[in-house]
Amino acid sequence: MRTGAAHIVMSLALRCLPQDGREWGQAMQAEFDQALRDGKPFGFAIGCLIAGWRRLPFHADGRFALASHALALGLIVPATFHLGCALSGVKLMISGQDHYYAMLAAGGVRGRAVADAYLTAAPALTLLLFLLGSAHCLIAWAILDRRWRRAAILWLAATVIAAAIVGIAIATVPGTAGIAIQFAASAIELAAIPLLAMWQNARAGASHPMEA
Amino acid sequence: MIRKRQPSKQMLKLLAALAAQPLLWRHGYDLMKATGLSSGTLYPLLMRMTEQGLVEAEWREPAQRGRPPRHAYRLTASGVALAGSIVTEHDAASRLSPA
Repeated sequence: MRTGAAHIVMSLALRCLPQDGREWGQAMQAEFDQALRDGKPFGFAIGCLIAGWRRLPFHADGRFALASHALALGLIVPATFHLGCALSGVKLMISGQDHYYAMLAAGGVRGRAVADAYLTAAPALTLLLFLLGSAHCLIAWAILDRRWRRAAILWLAATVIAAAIVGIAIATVPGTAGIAIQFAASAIELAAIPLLAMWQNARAGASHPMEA
Repeated sequence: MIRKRQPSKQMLKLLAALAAQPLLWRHGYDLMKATGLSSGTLYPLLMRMTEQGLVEAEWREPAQRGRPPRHAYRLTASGVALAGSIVTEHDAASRLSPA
């Protein structure tokens, strides 16, 4: 089991090395064989992984991997938030005890009207939040997979869903802070996805100048 | 090119291990054992020192059949010079410091 884990860690370590550092990867792999015979493969593999990570900022492949993983992580954070909101929405609908509805309804005639609108919109809002969270997860996946066309289509879908959520939110929820954050996130994605795609194309062109 | 910056403690350990027998080719795993450095420290050091021309590396055929070829390392002339200059500096500092 530990040996299997060591092999996985070792493969990860080798993947962190740049194209022109493959020789170092082979060198580490050969010594890993020695560490296996010595009964200490896991510690050795972890060390190699750390060595690979330490080299990441110093080569183009590594910098690109760091940037795309940072963007993917940045997408997973709002995705988790949206999926969490959708889950809360489902819980509230099942339990029938929505404190936010009660709070809105306490605000007089206008408040009751807003509360009723909110209650009507809640199932659609929950579904849209679930779709938005899922879309963000899929965008993150597409970015790590370097499928820019898919990422762009998913971004478009996420923006449409976000616009629908904002439309419903404006009608029912007072305050625009959440809406501004949503638009800022969409704008960052809009800029980051084509930038990463162009960066990858430039790297591909640099490594294969004859094909460019 | 010999580095101007003060070598780190880990680099000194590696230099000392390689300078002990400068003509001998040493394997990464043996160097880990000799210096007590982890693979996560040793390999970035070896990569950097190779880039700086202090260490040379070459593939060596395995001692036993069925095992993969191994990368072996030794100091270059610049590496030996750096190791020598560090020993000289160390000796001078020892003489100047009060007993």
